[in-house]
Amino acid sequence: MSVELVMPKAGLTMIEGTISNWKVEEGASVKKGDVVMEFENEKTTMECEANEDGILHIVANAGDVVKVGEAVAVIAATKEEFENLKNGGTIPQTTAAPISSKALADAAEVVMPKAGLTMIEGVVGEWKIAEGETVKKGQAIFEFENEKTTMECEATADGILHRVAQTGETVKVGHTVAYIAPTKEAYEALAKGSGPAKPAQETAGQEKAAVISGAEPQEGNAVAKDGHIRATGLSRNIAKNAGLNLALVSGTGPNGRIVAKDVYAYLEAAKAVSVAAPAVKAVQSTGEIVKTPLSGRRKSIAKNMRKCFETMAPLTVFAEVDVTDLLAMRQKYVAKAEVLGCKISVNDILMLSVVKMLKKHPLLNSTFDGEIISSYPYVNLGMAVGLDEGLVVPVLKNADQYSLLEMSKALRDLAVRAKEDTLVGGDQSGATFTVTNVGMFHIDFGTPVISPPQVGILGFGTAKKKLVEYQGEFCPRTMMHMMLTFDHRVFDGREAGEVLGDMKTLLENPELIFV
Amino acid sequence: MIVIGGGPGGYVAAIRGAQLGAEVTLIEKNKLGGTCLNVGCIPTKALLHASEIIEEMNHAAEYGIQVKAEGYDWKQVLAKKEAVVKQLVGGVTGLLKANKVKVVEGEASFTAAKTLSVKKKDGTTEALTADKIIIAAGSVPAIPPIPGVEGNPACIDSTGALSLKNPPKSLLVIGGGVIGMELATAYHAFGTKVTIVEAMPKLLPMMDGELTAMLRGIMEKKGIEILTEAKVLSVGNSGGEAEVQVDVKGTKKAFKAEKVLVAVGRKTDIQALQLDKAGIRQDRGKVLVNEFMETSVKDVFGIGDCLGQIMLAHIASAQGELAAENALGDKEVFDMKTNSSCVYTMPEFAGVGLTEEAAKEKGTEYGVGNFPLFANGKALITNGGVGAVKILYGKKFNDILGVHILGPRATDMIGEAALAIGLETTVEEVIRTIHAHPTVSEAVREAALAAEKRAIHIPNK
Repeated sequence: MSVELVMPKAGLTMIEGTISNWKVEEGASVKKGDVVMEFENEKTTMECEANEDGILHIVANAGDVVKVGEAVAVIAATKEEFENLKNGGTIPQTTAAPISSKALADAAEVVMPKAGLTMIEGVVGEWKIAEGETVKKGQAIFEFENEKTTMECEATADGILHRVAQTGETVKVGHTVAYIAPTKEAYEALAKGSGPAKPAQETAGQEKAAVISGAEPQEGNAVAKDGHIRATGLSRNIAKNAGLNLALVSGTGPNGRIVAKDVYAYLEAAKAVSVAAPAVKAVQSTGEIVKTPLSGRRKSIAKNMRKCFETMAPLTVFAEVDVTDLLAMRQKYVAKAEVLGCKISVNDILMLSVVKMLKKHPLLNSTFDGEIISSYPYVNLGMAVGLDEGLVVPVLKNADQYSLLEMSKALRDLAVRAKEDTLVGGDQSGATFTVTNVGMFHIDFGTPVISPPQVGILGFGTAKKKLVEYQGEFCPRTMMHMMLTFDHRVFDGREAGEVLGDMKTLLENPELIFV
Repeated sequence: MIVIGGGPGGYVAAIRGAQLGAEVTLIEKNKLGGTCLNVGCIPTKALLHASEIIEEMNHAAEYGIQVKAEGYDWKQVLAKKEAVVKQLVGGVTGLLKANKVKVVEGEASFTAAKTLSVKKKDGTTEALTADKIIIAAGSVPAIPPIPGVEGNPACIDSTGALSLKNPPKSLLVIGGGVIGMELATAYHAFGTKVTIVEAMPKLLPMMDGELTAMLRGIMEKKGIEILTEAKVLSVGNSGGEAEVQVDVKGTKKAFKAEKVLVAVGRKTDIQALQLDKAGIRQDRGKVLVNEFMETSVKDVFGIGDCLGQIMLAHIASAQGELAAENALGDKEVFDMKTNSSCVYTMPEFAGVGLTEEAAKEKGTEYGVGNFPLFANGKALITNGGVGAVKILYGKKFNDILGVHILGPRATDMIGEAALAIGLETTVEEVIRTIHAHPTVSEAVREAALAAEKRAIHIPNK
């Protein structure tokens, strides 16, 4: 006996598939399980297997759009049957999957039309016919919109209209929008029985109502005209437990009755399809998204940051420095603050050290335009200051001409003006090198970004007490990281190492800073 | 279509096949009706009915009826049994004729995949072939390899037990399964001193343990001796009686009895078929079939006792109908979940679905609703309220998993339970079903209420 091969339902919402290509020829012998055809639905391409051994007679060709459950081929059991089929013989009726409820056979279903190849769903617009009014086949009954346009939907039969979907509701293509009842009695039964698209009436005894799925269209076939759903007690309990509306489930029991395995199958399929719906706590986000455009300053910072990575070859090397002695020296200055007239900060000493180092490494005190390195006879030292509004880098011009005391005063002045936003243009430009001291931000070390066209930037991290080897013994010392980001187009690791080495020497022997 | 065997499996398959339009030939080597009608279900129940009458009469005075069982005419007991059998066998013969099934009397054996050679009673041989063949060859009592049993005139099987010249003075029954328990019940009523010897710790392996223990207590109270974990070591003869050596939980004991009923089970009767000539696969005498009742050979089916699985007449009949349908174009799977087990003791004992033991083994989470029959009016009237109903239900979804009934009419009441299980019925649906009063079957509803801890006619714990 010949067997129909139908378009499979590959996905919960699949209504039809397009045959991509046939992998075997007309008349070929196939075995059950052989891949014979490839088809596409909205989501993906899949393979279709032969469901029997036999000879293949193709009914739908590549490129054809075939509804789920309809025949794409017939597999004939014998050569004679195949010849018969080829010559236009009828395909024997097999027990096809139920497509529509027998109980609803009286009423004509009006579904959301597919007005466009990519249309998946439509929004019901204006109803042109009132509830309960008589319509004639071909008459426009409602308007609907898809992504592209607004269209009219016509009545598929004569009869009395029972509206199911409302204006504004989104209905998937192929799903019910209305019914056209052939007689007044049929209409009354439909309207009274609250229609299949509404939540099913539970039989007496069930305390809780089934979960209402709102605009969810009917997919199952077990709903009778009066709204009663044919289902076994066990299947009802399983559905209730899962919060599932039984009206959605197709029944495979006697007369389309829903049995336990049908509910389980529906829940499995729903689980597989809802990829984006993890079974976790449903959290409602409150509040609104705050949108802030970049400020001018932020834009400028962004541009420079980007430029560094786009034009340079930045690389960062690190070293840890023993600043115990440096801090002790600073304390001495602090003790003498009155005499000096100002309080020397650690940063002041660090900045001075950098200047001294730069004098020894003129290549680092340079700018690079991609072709020519310009080394400067003076040091314009940029000092990165982190403000609420963003990073500011005031520049101490001719920093190499300052004593520690003078530098301390000048840097303080720049910092205050930076905070008060009273820096002038010249204050923020012309730096030949930049220092970024991020110690106060609890940063151990980082990878500072060079401000083009400079070729390097030195950063300092948080000072911490650590047990390190000092003069042959392990003792607690205050350690601090230094990080030098340099442009590898201009330098190599060797020079960077030397720079860090010299800085280390200065900071660990701070008396050398002043020599 | 050819059907080999005319028992409840074969004749049902033949009639179904004929209903579906096939030309059916049925081959029977002995008597139509097979084991069930001739030497099984029917004669046993006829005998049991006679014993039931005796039991009722023994209680008649309680109801003010002045009658005494003066004794019995054993010949008439057997005659009535035979009359019932004859009537039913005649009925089957008539049905087969009405359905235009050709009956060939003889022993069939395969010569090729779909060709049979039938050795007829008159000595001639007939070759038969058909498009489809259904094997329903049935079973015979199994004789265990216990020394002294084979050939011992004191040892009888169930067939022999149904045609004794007289009820024996004493009877030792080897095997505490359905057949042993039923024949013990029957003969005890006729005054035989009965001892049941069962090797396993439990009687009636397929039945609910708790209710089985209750039944055992009832039978022991009546005077039937029951030993479990008792293995028969040998059977000998001693002064015209049988002497049975039994190992009772490690201790050796000797029992004397006029007759020894060997009721340890049945084995398939397929030897003569020569299945290998057709390439039909079997496993130590059991014909191998898939869920569609198909054997390893296309167009050949197997059903009933010859599969060596569940040896019950109603299973054979259900499989027979299915095999006939599948042979003629259908492709249905045999579903056993509504199969009931029935034991015709007094009181009757029936069960369908999972026992507590089976549920525990499966790891199924279940709950139980119990209702004792002393709280049921009809049972009280009928047998003094002896028995109980137990319902097992799934904890998660309240679906009925099993129903077990010990009491009057249990074997008839179990039909409701089988239907409930087949329809995936829940406990509340049984409760919502109005059960007539006064019946024993309303105890089933009460057991469902008890499951929900709201029984009306007993206090809920």
